[in-house]
Amino acid sequence: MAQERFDRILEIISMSLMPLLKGTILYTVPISLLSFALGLLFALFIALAGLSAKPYFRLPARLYVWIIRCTPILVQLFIIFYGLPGMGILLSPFASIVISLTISEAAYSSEIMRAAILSIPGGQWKAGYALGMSRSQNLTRVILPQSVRICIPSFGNQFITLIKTSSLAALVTLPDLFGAAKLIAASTFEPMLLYLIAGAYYLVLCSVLTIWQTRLEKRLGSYQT
Amino acid sequence: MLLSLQGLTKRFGDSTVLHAIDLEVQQGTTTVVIGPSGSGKSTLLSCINLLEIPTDGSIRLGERQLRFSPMGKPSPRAIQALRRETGTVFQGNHLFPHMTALENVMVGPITVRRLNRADAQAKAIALLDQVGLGAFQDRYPYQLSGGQQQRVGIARAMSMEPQILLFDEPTSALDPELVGEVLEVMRSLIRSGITLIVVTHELEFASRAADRVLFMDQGTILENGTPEAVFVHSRHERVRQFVSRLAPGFSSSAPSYTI
Repeated sequence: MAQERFDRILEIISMSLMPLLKGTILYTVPISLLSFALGLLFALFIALAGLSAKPYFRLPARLYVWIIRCTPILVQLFIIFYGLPGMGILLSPFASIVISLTISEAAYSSEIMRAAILSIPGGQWKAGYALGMSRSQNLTRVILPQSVRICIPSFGNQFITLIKTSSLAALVTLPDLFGAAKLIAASTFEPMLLYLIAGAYYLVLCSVLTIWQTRLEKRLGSYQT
Repeated sequence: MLLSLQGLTKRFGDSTVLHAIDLEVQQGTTTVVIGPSGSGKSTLLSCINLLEIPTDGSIRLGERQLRFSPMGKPSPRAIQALRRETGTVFQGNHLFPHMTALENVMVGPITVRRLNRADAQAKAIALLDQVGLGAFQDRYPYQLSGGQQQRVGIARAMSMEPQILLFDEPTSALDPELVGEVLEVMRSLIRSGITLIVVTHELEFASRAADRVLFMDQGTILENGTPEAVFVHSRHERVRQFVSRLAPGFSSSAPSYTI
């Protein structure tokens, strides 16, 4: 490789450092964390509604999961960002991406939670009831604490997927990690280099999460059944 | 009478599992329920602690009475109130795996009776001592042997200070060498004056510890009497056969079949 080319690559790596870091810290990470936290919160209610014996809880929950899981996030995002303004609802790019990621995260995670709750043996419910617990006491003290441990590996996967999906933010004008790389690629005519760099950033980010997830699993998995 | 059942009936769909059971249990006595599998023994217990809601009949336990009808269930509140007067030990112990032995025994009083932590802990420690597991309070269920798990299960069932303790085949899932320690704890409960109903296949235990033995068959109580009356002098061929098959040489010299 010519010395000149090598210098150019180094120059671009160093000049893209700040915009990419800024995109990561100001957009990619907060968008992912916020959507994940909100998504899990809604997911719990959707999972419980989906498990309810009462059809007026169960059916809307199942309908929601069905629709959200069977349509692309990109379509949902564009409906929110480009479609809703036509109905007089104008949302900021940041709000749009957080809302659409939350909506889909809630649908997927609720299925994980529902499966985890269903996997707890019936004897655990019986034992809770036999102690005189109500259904909600049984859920919070006996069933959910055990379900959470089952969910952790899947939640780890969900969060890593979410970080990567948050790159859709670039399509609604936000300069997140991917958005910043896209802008620099356009101004320097170095798409290959910039997208490789962006990919490396995502790789580092998700690797750190994977390590952290493994540790969390070990810590929470301190009992067997 | 501490507990009386009147016309207690349980149907699952078209099949009737309990046929209008009448039963009286006196305070401080031990009632052992035996019978072939599928005879309704476990369902009888599940109907007393209301994990299954009877289809018909009535239950009175202490001051509380509930009537059942095919038309509708009693309110969840009424069900819980009666259920709290019972304690249940399950065949598969069903300990909470995410809690230590101590927490297993504390969670009921804290959650349901709203006891404060310190009081609940003191009581739980006393109960674990009573079943001989004081030294194991910080172990998780998977760190305990089957017999120890079942003893924690007994302590947990007692933690709600029930008027009656129900045992659903407490030793059936245990290795033979672990059965003794669980039966020993049950004998000490009997001596302390608690009212017990025990579904079991341990006829030896039944004959020594029971005040009354019920033999159930096809959803009815075929025989109800003292251990001697049921094991040795039963008029029913079914009972004699069952006893001699489970414990050969245990009943009278009556042959198990005739030529």
